[in-house]
Amino acid sequence: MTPGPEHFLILGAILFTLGVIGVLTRRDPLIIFMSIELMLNSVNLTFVTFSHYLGTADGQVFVFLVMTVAAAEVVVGLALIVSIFQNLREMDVDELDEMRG
Amino acid sequence: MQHFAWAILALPFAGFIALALWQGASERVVSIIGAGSVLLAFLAALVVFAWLQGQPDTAVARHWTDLGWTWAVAGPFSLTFGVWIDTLSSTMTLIITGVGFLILLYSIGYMRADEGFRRFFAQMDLFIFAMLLLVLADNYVWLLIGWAGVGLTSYLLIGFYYQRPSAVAAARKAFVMNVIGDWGMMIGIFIMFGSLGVVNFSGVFSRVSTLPYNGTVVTVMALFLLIGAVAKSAQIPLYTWLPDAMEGPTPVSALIHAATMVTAGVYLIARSYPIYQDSPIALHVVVFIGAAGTLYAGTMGLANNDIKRVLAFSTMSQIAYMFTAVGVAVYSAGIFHLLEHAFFKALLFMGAGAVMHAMDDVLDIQLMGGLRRKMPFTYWTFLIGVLAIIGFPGFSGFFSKEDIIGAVYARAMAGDGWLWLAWALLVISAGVTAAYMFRLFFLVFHGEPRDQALYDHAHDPPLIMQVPMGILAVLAIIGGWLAVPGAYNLMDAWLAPTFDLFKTRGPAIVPQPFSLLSMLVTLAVTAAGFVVAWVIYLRRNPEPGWVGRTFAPVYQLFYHRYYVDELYDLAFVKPVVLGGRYGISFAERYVIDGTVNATAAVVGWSGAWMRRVQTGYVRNYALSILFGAIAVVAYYVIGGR
Amino acid sequence: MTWLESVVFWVAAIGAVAGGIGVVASRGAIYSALSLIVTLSQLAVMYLLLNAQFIAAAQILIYAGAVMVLFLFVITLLGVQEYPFLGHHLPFQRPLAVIFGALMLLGVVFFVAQSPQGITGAHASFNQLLDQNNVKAFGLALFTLFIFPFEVTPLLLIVAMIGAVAIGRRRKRTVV
Repeated sequence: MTPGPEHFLILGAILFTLGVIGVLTRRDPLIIFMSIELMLNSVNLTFVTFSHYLGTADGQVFVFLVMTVAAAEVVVGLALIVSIFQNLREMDVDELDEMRG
Repeated sequence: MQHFAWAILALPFAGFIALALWQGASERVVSIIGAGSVLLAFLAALVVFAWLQGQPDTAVARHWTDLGWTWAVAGPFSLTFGVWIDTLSSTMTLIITGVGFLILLYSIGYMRADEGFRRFFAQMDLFIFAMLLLVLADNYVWLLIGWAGVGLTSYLLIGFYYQRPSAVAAARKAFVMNVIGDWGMMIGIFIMFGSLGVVNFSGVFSRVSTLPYNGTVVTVMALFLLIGAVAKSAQIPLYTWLPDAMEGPTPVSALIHAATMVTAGVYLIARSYPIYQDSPIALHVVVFIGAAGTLYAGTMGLANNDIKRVLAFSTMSQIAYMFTAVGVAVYSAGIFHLLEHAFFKALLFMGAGAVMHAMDDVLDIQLMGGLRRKMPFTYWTFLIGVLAIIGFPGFSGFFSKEDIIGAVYARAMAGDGWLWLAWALLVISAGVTAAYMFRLFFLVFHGEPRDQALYDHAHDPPLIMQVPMGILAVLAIIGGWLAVPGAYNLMDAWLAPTFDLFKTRGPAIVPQPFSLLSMLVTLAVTAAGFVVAWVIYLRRNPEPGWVGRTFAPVYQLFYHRYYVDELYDLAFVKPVVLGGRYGISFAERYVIDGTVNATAAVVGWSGAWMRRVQTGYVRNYALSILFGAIAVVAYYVIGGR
Repeated sequence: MTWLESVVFWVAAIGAVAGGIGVVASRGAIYSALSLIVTLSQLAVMYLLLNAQFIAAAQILIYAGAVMVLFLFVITLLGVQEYPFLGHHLPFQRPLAVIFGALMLLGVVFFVAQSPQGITGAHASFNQLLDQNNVKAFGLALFTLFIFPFEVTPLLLIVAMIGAVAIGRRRKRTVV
């Protein structure tokens, strides 16, 4: 059938859910980060969908800004991951449990 | 000139502050400040009195109020502090400061070498200030403050010899009963505020006529105020503190429990006359509390062996006379007797103090006797006091008592049948008064000394104590000539403007017609009482205990004061004490502590349970964020806008 | 939309989802990275289908080109590790995550299925230029309406750069 706006949106939702499950389930910080990127991209898809169907450029501009921020975020995040984990034997987010109550 | 009213208040208060703070003052300095401040206050009272005299003799002219400051404002209600000068309050200030000064003068001699000398004078000055506040206040709240103030100082002074357990207990008893009275007064003031919206005199008295005459509101208000008056004036049923209050030093008994504080109840009723005028029911209650009290107290005085306690019962009895007077709406007669009573009762207490001083502080009259020969000055002044109190013709008590008894007689004749009973009670009490006063007199001063060692030591008091006694003796003789029944009544004329200021319904406040018959009957009964005392105690001179054995059951009843103290103890004191014990053991430990501990335990337990949320794993926290997001989505799915 | 475009859509959609599953389920980080690149490129195709050429180009250049390369650098720097899929620390985490994720997906699908009618078709503020010349329309919007965010963004980038340098530099080993 002919894809309409719903299809794009549902695709975005599926990708977003996959990203969420990835964040919650994996223990490698790099993979968690990539799952976050997946989530951001799914949101971008949604924005562009609406931009196309509502006939306004605002959605695309926002996507542009999201990309920029995502790039900056990746830079800082990876720097952090490198500095925390470069001396550990294993890359495991669960090792950082000092805030346990 | 009338502004000197503020000085009347300020001077004793300044004296109190000075004495309270000046730690190392010598006895001489303390005497000068303590007595001097009151003397100056008396002079200020004289100035105000003179000013009033100078005003034309109308209700409006002989009245002055001055607003001091506004203390509290709450919506339409504002509580101010001001003075209220009229002939009644002026009279009271003269009595308080005048007699007060004489008693302080006496105390300089009596309390000499007591290590609480400064404390005594400081507390006496405070008392005088509080009493003056009571009579000079222009609204009921400040009157109540003064009222509570005299209650406090009374407590302090009764318990002056605080190392004595009996004194401490007596002070506490007095205070508790006074508090009951304070409570009654407070409720009365609340009712006043609730029904009339104001508590200052001019407001209340002008508005009280808007309430139904003899209606529930006015009567209840008057009766609650009466509870306060009864407690303060030691009338039935709140009187048991007065005999015990004799634990305090004699000047305290003289000033507080004879001349001033106990008369505050009479003042209250007289001052509140528009309220009582509107409620004849309340007035009748006053009459019967008074009339019954005269005889009741007199009988107890017949059996007591403590020189001061006999005088305490006589005080209660005489104040009951004043209550009867205001109860039949002859307010000026009540105030007249108040004035005379201040003179001769203070004199009698001073005499008793002189006797005690001479007898090494012994109070038991059974150990006295024959002091006439050793203490002539005391003997003669005491005799004058006794003649005054029983109403011997020519002495002050005669005129004021006749005024009251005659007024009751006249009102009874005018149609109020119940008053015949009151009249009969008053007349019989006159006889009983003569009996127990002369019993006291004969046992102390006449006959043979019953304790030789004490007798040898006896002597007249020093000059500083004799001077006030002498002055009071003179006043006790001439003071009564302010009003001669059947001829003229200066006292009533002086007080008339005060009772004319606010128009009232109820019985007319006018001097009553004189009755020769009533006077003769009273004199006859009085004479009979004297004869009884003379026969038993002077001519026959029985050994101690004879009277007690002969009239055993009646005597026991009188001696144990009708067992009322025991009754009160059983009915009120014991339940409260038991309740307190129960409270400590059960309520305090399990309920209060239990609740507090349980709260702490719950907090700790819930905290420990909640702590498990902090797993330390970021992934868990992310999961909870997701959970929150789902909740929001669910909200919109279900249909929230 | 023509039938060719429909086919392209479905192929790209399946590819994107497959890539997404690959990101989440791969055993090693390198495999996840490659899967992500697949997803990103499929999304770029989607953007083209939606007539957003500028965004599609930017997606390839920035995301697939720069960001993922950075990821790959870090992965190779830190080394590949083999380790179990899910640890024993939190036994309930995985099932709960899947359940919640499914719930959320259902919720979104529910809303989308009720999509309001006005989402497609011409209406008052419909920008024709967007369909005709996407880059021009996009540029106009970016440099007029959104000029302020556009100017602030470089500041953000500079801050990120400084932050990364500060965090990532080699520190002297101090006695801890």
